[in-house]
Amino acid sequence: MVEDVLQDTLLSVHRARHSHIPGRPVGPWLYAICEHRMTDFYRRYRRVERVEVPAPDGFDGLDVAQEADGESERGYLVREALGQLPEKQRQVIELLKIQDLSVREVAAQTGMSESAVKVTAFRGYETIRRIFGVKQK
Amino acid sequence: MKTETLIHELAKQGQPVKRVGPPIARFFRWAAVAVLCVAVGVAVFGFRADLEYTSRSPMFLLQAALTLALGALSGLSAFILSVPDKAKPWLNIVPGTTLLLWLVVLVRALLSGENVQAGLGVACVRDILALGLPPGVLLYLMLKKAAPLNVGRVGVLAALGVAALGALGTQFICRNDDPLHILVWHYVPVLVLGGIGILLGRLLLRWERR
Repeated sequence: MVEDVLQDTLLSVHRARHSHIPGRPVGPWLYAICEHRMTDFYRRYRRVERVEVPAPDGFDGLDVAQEADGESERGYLVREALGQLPEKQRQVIELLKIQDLSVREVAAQTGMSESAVKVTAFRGYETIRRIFGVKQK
Repeated sequence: MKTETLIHELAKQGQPVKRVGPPIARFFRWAAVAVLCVAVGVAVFGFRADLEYTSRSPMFLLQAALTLALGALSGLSAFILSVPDKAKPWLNIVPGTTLLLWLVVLVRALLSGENVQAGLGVACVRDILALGLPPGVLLYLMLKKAAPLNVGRVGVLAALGVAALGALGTQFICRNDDPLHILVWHYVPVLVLGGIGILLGRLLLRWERR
């Protein structure tokens, strides 16, 4: 994510290099571009966040990425739950929750529509919740 | 793409560029052409018949001064904001205050007058648009050559500036000096055009993805 903003800023600096007035300090010019790119990024990020798929109740407070990497019992359960999902659901959830991509990015990567991504993720969450419910009982 | 690769790519493409000049110098270049355009436009549409008499009226002079100031300050602000630099909040405040001052002058004249009539002023709106269009096209082209970061804000200031110059020229054409007429058919169109400037700015001034 930081890499994206940095690359965006570098591109903007490159494209706006003709607008630096000779003799004027470079700092404020550079800072203004960086600040603008950051604001732009946060605006986009908030927009993406608003359309993000909400995890169902049973999934709340569960950091899938951390749990899937961990050695705890929950980590084992998460890995097992992910393993039991149909291929498409597992792929979508891994991209959304482990690789932390947005719905739009997942759609682009998988060739699915954004609504199909949301539906698939929702079904995946439901399955995981069911598995968790059974295992935890 | 890795950042290092991007830096190498950009460095390879880093041909020398023609830099834009200082904003104030660019503003004066634009202002000279804009005033000439408006003057020619007014001459083409025809000066009002009572100009010699009216031009001595304090109200006429005050309004001319305010619209000229609004046009100049908005244009100057747009040029200053068209290059990345540290934030300058006064660039919004000064044209905004001038716009407010014009409104206060009109409302005060309206409240103190009798038998106020707005009359029909479609021709005035047409004149404001026609007089503002050539300097407006030039202004947007000049601004786009720089690198405005907040395109909406720059678009508003640019539209406000050219609309105010159009209103200044219209004052020399329109024979109706009634404050209500000026408010409805001169002030409001300037305000509306300024608002449309947000869309124009977002549509015409983007440079980051070019």
